[in-house]
Amino acid sequence: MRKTSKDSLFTCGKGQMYLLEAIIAAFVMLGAAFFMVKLAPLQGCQEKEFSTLQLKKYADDILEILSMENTTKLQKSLITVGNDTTLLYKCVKKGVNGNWSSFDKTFYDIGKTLKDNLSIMYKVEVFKFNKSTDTLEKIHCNGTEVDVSNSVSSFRIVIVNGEVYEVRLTLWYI
Amino acid sequence: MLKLKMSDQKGQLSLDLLIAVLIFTLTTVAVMYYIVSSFTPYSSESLYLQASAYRVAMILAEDAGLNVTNITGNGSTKYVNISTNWEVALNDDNITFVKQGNVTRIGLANAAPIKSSYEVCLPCCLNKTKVEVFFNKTKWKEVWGSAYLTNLSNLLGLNILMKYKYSKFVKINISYNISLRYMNGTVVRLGDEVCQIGEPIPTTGNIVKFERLVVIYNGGVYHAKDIKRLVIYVW
Repeated sequence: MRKTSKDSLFTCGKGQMYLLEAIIAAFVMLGAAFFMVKLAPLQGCQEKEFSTLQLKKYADDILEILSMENTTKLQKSLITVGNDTTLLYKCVKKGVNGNWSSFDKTFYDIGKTLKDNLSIMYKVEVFKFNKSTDTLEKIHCNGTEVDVSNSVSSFRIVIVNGEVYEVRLTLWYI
Repeated sequence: MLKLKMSDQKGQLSLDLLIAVLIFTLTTVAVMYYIVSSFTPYSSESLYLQASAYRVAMILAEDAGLNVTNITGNGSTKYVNISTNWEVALNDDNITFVKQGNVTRIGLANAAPIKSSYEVCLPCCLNKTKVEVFFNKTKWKEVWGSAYLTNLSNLLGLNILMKYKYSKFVKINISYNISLRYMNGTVVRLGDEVCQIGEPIPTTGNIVKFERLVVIYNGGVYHAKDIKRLVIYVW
């Protein structure tokens, strides 16, 4: 044994660390750190990414459903064009002409459904593309005006009277 | 004034020794960790379950399915007819047709009325007939008997082959439960059929869920009340 009763830590005040104690201490510290790292974050990151993906698909699907035409002209398209019959187009067209009530009602109903059943909050914004400055200008907003870090957005382009509008839907979990 | 002397015997902590040993041990463990991890699979179980749930949800919500028919023409000429109306054979009780593997993929989306190919579909816009046939367990049992869930999982892309590092391909059977629900979670009923198929969802274990928001095509515009949830559980 390295320590005797004479020079033990508690009896004589000596407490120098020897090589064996240092190695043991190092392994204990590393072991603790290793298990802490190993147990928590990897799975957590995967779950967070997956729930963010779920939120993104909710937003995509809502805009997709609102962009469906009600005639046999149904078509798969990212851009809702011209004189079509989609609900999103109709709502935006009314809005840019000064009446946002149907737009707000549509998204309020959807937002209430999401909040009541899936604990999801929403915010929807409409931007107008300014051709002269190449920038987007916000012209309307509906929903909770709080930006949170874990929110996700999806958008649709709507063209009304030759002007380009972006409808941006942002969702986040309560 | 505090004096640090390594040679005396008065309880000093040899911090430099501890740091040196710590660095050495850290390096040793890091090297060992990388050597060991190179022989272990990268993907965890939940990772492929998440991918499977996402894939099934996407296939069902965005794809109309695939039906392949070999047609013999004059002489030895053969044609292959590709279409999306896989539900027709089941609706007509053409069990042999389905058993022969002519139905190669199941999708619930509507094929676009104006289309350039069979691949053009309407995402999130489900065809009512396809939904009714898909959730009709009686029809699937007529085709494949009690093993219909296994055969159905092939058409949904759930019986997958997975290759770990330095290992052979391993077939992984994934259990599933698919349902169409109202937004409040109640399962939709179409006629006599409950829109739910698959094994009972276990209460414990690694279960992954993914959802898509869909509507059943009715030719009109869709509001909040029309939106339903296509819920996929895999484990």
